[in-house]
Amino acid sequence: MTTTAPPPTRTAPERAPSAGAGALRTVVTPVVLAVLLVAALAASIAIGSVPLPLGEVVAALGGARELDSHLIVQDLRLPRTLSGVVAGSCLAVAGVLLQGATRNPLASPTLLGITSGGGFAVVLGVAVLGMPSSYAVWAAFLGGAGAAGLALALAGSGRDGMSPVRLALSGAVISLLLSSWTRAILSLNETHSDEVRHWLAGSLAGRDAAALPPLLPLLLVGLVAAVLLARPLDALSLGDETAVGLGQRPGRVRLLAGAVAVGLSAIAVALAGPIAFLGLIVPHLARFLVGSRHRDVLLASALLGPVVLLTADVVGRVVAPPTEVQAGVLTALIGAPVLVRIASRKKVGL
Amino acid sequence: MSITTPTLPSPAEETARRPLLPARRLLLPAALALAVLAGMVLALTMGSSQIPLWRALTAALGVGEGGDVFVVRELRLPRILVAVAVGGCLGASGLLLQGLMRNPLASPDIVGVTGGASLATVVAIGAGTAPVLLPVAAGAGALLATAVLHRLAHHTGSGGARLVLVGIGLHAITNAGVTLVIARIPVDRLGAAEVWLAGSLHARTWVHVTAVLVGAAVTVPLAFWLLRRLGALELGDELAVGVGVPVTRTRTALLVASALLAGVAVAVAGPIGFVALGAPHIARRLVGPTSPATLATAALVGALLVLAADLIGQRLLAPTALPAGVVTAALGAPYLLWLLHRMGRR
Repeated sequence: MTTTAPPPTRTAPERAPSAGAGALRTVVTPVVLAVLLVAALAASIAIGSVPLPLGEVVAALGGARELDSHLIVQDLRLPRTLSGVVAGSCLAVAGVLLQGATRNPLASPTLLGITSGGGFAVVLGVAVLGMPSSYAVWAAFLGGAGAAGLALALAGSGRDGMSPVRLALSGAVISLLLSSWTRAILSLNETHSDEVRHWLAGSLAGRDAAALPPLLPLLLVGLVAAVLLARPLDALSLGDETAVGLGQRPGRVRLLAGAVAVGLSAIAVALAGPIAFLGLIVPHLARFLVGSRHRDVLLASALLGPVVLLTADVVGRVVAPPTEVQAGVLTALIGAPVLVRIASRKKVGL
Repeated sequence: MSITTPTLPSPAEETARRPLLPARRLLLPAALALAVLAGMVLALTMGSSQIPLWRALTAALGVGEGGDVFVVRELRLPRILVAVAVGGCLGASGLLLQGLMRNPLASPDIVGVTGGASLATVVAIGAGTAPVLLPVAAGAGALLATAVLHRLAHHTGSGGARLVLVGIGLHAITNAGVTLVIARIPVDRLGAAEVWLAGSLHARTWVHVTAVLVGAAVTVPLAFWLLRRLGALELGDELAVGVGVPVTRTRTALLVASALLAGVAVAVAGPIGFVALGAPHIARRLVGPTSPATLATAALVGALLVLAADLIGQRLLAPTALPAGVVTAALGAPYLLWLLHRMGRR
């Protein structure tokens, strides 16, 4: 084998701003992101394939369900928007947890096979075993955990241990495997195909308002756990030995963070299908904005995830009328180049 | 630490395999060619109606009952010929790219080359291009994707897992692009695009046969002609220069040949996965390191795989028909997993 090319001349500068600027940044950024989120929410409710004047949309929000516009806003756009907020937050926070736990910039629900594992399990359950779709989140949890476990086992089976690229590659290959099996199941089972295929591409369309409330307690548990994991993950980022010195148990922190990440991803998968790459890009963007402390990154990601997902969803509604492009397609279009860029950077060890 | 390629033997292994009888190198492709021929004949008799062997053969020549002649000559024969040609192109394309990148996972269907071809093809279908011209569009798309990959490989080094991961990213981009384009295709052309996208050999006609055979007639000889030099490149750039092979030019030419082969296949049959990955591996196991015999074997194994996948898809759950691409993906994906596992073990 030939030796690798000479090291790159330019390395990314470490982000270590002065304390004052850093503190300001961690306060101002979430506020700005919250404003952006409100804007994205408003856009998601106001813009759609049926053009409605803004005044009518506002009236419809409190309306008595008499006009078509009331029904469109209350039954279609509102559930869709709320699903987008929850799914976006879940995937982004899961991405932060996975990247922190594995100390791997490529770790994310997509690249560990968690989302496609969840998708496969849901399709298997609903289309083959006849499972009612209200159990989707549990199937997605089992499928996601199974896929992530398989990816870790496969990546760890190598002689030179678990390198970041190898872990991501294992997860990507498992994703490929599971999505081709999902496709095979679907082409056998024509009755569910259209609806499920739409969901599989990662879509917020046609969300039932009733699907959301049962998931909220799970969401709350997941988010609280994520906040509690912020400090242990900070310690972990200093290296395992330092983390032990700081009183953490790295193995347990990793396991917990992984389980919470899989749970959050399962909520997102049950709501919106396997949305690709959102959990990869948002944490990087958040770290770029607020630095690397996990508490700040978690907050920024939880706000930024919905902004990105809702924007993708709104763009998908208007880009190809009269049809809609699923939000997952657009997140893949933004996210895959990020994967290419991170993976081709020399900084990630093989 | 870069990961060495398991299928390309180390120099020591290679000398151990060297005393391979030349006879076997000739006999194996010949035997495979016979197997492909037998598969084609078998496929003529199989379908929603069984036609006995003799009647099928005479019908292929235009003799016999009108119904038989129509089914065999207009429905089955074009489909079979397309399957064989597509499989051959995919196998050959995979062998070239894997050898060139010195990476057993760097096959056109994993690293985004067929993805580029798919994107270009749906754009062309959307623009209303005639089926005969689709290979040109697909070839251009495959070339573009290959160029991007090659440029990125320059940064990553070509041997390792990193390039494959970059390629998977490239594949994801093109996939998303395909979905986006499909959403914007005019309704009257949507049917053609969706049938094509399923990776199905269903309803292939003589137009497709012409397209794929013309494409193969250009690209396959090119591949054989360039193959002598691939062997030198696989020894490493310095050794290749030492034996008088112009490295950069040869590599470019080989990349072009591989991309065009993949493009031709994708244009007529849609994305049929894992054939370009698996066929070269099987060929190397059967006949050893790169040689014209390996290329011929890879192409024939590819043809056999696609033919078999199409028959399995048609008959396994009849009357429900599975596209050949679904069959190859469902069976090929676990192989990819195993390959990755083995790659780590080395």
